[in-house]
Amino acid sequence: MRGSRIAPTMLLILMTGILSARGQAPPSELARQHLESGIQFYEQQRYKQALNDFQIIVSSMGDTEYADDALLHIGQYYLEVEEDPVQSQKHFQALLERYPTGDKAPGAYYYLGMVSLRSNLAAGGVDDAMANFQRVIRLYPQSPYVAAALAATGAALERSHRWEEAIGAYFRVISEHPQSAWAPEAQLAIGRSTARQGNPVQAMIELQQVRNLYPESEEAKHALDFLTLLFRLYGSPELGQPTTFQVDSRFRPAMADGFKNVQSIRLSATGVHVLEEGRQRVLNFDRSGKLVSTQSAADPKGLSVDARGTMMLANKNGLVIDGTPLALTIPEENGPKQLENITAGVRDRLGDLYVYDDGEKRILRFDPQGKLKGSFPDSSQRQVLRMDMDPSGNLVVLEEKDRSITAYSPTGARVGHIEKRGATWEFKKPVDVAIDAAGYVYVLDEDLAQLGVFDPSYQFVTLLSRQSLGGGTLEKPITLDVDRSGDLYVYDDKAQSIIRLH
Amino acid sequence: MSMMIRRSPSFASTRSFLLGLAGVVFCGASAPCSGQEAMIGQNDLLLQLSQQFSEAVALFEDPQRQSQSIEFFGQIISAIDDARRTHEEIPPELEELLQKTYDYRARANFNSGQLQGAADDFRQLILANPRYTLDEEALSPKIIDFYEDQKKQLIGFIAVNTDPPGARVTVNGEFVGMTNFFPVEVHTGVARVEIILPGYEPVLRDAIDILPGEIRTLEATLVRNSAKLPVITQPPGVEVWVNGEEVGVTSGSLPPDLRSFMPAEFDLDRLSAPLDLAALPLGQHVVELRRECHEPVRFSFNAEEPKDYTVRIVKLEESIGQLRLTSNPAGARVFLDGEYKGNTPLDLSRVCSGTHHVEVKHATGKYVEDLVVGKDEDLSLDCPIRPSLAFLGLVAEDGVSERDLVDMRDRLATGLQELTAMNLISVPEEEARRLLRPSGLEALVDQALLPQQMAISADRVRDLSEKVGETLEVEAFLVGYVPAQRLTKDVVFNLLATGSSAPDSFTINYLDRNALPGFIDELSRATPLSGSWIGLRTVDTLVNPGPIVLQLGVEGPAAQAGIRKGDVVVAAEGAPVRDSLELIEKVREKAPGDTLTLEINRGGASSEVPITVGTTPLEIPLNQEGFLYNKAIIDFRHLIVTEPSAESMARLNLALCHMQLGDFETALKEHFPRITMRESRGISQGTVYYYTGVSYQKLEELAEAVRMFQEALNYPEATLNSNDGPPVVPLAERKLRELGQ
Repeated sequence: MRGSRIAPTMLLILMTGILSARGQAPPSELARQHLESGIQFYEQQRYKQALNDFQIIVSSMGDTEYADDALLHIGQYYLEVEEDPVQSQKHFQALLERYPTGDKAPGAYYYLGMVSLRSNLAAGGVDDAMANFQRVIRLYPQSPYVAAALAATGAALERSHRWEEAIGAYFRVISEHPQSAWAPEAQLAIGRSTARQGNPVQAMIELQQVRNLYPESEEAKHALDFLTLLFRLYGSPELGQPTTFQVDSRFRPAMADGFKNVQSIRLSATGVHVLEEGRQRVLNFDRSGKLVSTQSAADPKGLSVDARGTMMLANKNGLVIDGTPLALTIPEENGPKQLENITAGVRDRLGDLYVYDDGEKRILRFDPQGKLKGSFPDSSQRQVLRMDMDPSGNLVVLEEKDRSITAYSPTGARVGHIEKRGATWEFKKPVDVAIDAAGYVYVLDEDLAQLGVFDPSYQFVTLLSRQSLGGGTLEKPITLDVDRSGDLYVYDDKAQSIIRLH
Repeated sequence: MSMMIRRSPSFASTRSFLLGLAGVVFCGASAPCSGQEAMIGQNDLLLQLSQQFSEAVALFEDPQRQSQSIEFFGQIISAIDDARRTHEEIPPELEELLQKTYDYRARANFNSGQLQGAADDFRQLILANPRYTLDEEALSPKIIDFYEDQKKQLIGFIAVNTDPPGARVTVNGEFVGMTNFFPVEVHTGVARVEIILPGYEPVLRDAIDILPGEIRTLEATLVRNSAKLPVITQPPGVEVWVNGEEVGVTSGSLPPDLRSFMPAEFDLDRLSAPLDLAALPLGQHVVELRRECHEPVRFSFNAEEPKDYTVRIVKLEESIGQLRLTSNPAGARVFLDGEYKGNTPLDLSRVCSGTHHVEVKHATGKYVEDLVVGKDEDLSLDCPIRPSLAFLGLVAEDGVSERDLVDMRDRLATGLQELTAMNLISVPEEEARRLLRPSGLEALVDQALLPQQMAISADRVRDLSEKVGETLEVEAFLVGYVPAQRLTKDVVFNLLATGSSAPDSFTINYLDRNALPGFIDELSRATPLSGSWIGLRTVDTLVNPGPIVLQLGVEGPAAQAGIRKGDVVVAAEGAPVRDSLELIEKVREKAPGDTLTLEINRGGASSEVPITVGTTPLEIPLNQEGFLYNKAIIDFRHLIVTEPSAESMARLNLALCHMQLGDFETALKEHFPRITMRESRGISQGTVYYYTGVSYQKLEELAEAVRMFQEALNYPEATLNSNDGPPVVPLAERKLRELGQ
């Protein structure tokens, strides 16, 4: 009887197996389908579903030709979405170990390089990154990743301020891979590096090439901004025309109750942000000057916008990052001590936080979770008026003591310094410092209503007098910011107005 | 049928004979033999039987064994009889062999006392050939007499005389002679005699008794039933056609005795001998006279009576024209109807009127045309030399059906006929393989000109393509590759210029009607060596209403027109210019020498500035997807010949093409050393040094590379790409740094 009961069951199982086997595609085809599915989910930003598909390939179809693709995508996810260098590295290395001769091996080397470049700001990180990029170029010269590796090499060299070599790497991208997706960025970077070399006119020529050769690209728009900026600072004098800014009447931010106690103006991609310290609020305007929103802020002391466009408010106890408060404490013998006199805060590309506490008289560095990493750049005491971050990730500090400006690299090394007085300039009362997207430093002098401009190497470029800034409109400018194309947004405390100088 | 080596004729020869017989029987019995098979069979049979005959003769000549030869002779006779039965007719050689065999057997029979057998054989012999004679000097008189006795019984004689003579006489269907002839042997019996002379009524004598030994003489007066028309032509060598059929060609010269009778309008020295159009049936005829390079003459002739008509003298007028041929470049070889006539420029003063096939061939291409030359026409033909492209067909992956492939090949070959910028030669695939096989380049067709897919190095591709180019007389080849696809039908065309080391690929969607015309446009587009230029470098900013002049080319057209640094360009030819790219497009729309008017702002004031557009040399774009470098090679080679003044720039671009295709050696050996640029600004000798250095660097000849880059530094105003391109010096400096200098 048991036999007769089992027999039909066995038969059913057998038949199911046979039927399933008939309806199922071979493993390779299945893996390909999963890969396509995963990629589609990824593009739709449905990352969990995408990861599922990729993991299935890795765990149960590891022998197929698509397994290395899956590992690469997983690694990319951890790098680009999770920003988890450890996890991303793990997957790229697994790819190299398991599929060293596969066609995705150069991709793995490339991304390992990117992990190093993004996560390790020290010189060692750059060296590691370049080594991996060079592996792609030398070992896989026909690989489609070569163009990317060359561009990334250029970026790594730029980070190390090796401009000429960076230009060489970028030049190889545009000459050997002119049709690649990296070519517009490479041409733009040539312009950028050429500017950093101190050849602004040649830089303009290179930047113009971005617009002539790749007119539809995003880089063409960036190039226009950069061209405008360079033209203002260098092109006009080159052509015998003084650099002047005019008041842009198209920008007319207005408040019914006027502006009061404006501590900072900062720009982001979404608009113009104004911190009114006394009224404990942040006013958000669009680029035409129309008020979009108002944010209340408890005891706000400083405002910054990081490289990703995230707004950060410093209040006396901590920071508010994109609306989320983060209290900051420092360890002491008797336990963690809450900071109580924070007046400025900025965030770097990796998420580390730099705050100045006027009680501690130190700049303190915290990890993204708010854990103290130490004093920065050292434990000396100082009084800081303003802080900002330049595009290279250097912390730029305006000190109250001598009103000098100093730039510190992520390792704390001093990379630039601007005295109150130099051979060709003299400030009376620097009150704010702004840095544009190209790394030019603008020092606002309240008393003389003038603006000193310094290049990304902190070398003097020009001094814009009161007259050249809107024809003498400014009386008492106390804070400013600069947009991508070099337009200035200035708050004048005497006129209690914000103007855009174009 | 095997031929065995015979040690003795007895068994072996029998066996081989039987094998041969089996072959013959097989051929006849199992299936009807085709004519050719039969011919082959009979030839084999003849060979075999001839050998057997020789062996039998050897037996015959041995007095001890002569009688044994009878059987063997008999077998030969049987075999030939069988063959006759099978094929009805046997070749004359077999017939002759049969007669000889009868001869020998008869003698063997006679010698062995079998007189009846001998008589029968001789009779058979005589029946087969009544005029057969024995060799009287070699044979005994007895045999001769015996033979003659047989003959007397079987042979009579017939003689035929006719008026007029020259008639053909057959007896019982067998031709016996032309009248008037002496008596000839014929078989005794009742004979049917036919006498035929064209132009006369045939005579048939049905029942003529031929008695043994008797001479029968026939006389016949033939009745004429036709006309004769002699024709004399001026000049000789004229084909004469009657009622659509060619009957003869006039030739020779006029006999002296006729000269005095000729009308004055004819040139006696150029008249032919008379050609008799004999045996013209009574009635109407159309006579046509034709000669190359002459107007044909046609006339009607009514043969009313059966008589000789008066000679017709016809003069044919020459029909010729003139053909003047020029070509660019000159010095091309001219072939008219396949015959070499000289080199261009060429005047051919005597060209027959009518259609001719002209080919004008040059090292860089050819010109082909079929044209019609009219009588007295003076035709001038300019023959632009065009490169030739051989289309070698399609190859496909497994999974593409043969029917699809054939259909695609035919349609593409037809579509490619629209190409006019090159001479397209469609080479059938088998023909292509046959031509390419000796050079080993057949694999290129199989692999659709994809060297990376096969074990042929780029150097070998280059060498082989040169050889095949010579063979096919083409400048480039085209092969299509069809991958196995489910949804789309792509065809990848691979184009290889002769002497190139790697092809270009161009993919079209076969289902897209515009795709092939698009490819043809690419093949037709000439690669430019120069472009319009005004010597202005502008940049775009957000603070100026238009592009602002940053730099001016020294002595460039813009500078000469008075444009200055800092001028803002706001319009060109009256249309607003928003950015530098729009300005560049406006310049490109103009040709060198045209005027381009710019509106500029300077210090707040506007003005219009007319600029005479100049010329800049242009390099081909490197690493550009879709660019046909092989096509560019063809264009530039052609330019070197047609525009010698452009040779240096053409060679520079040729070198760049080869560099692009990875063939740095050819660039270094064939082109760079032959470039001399006089200019010092823009594309100049500094440019050449730079690229020469790059080539040496690629070949890892670093010392030479360094030397070249250092030379380039002596040209501070040299540029790449065009006169507005990036300066050479910083690039050369960068290279030197790379090389540790």
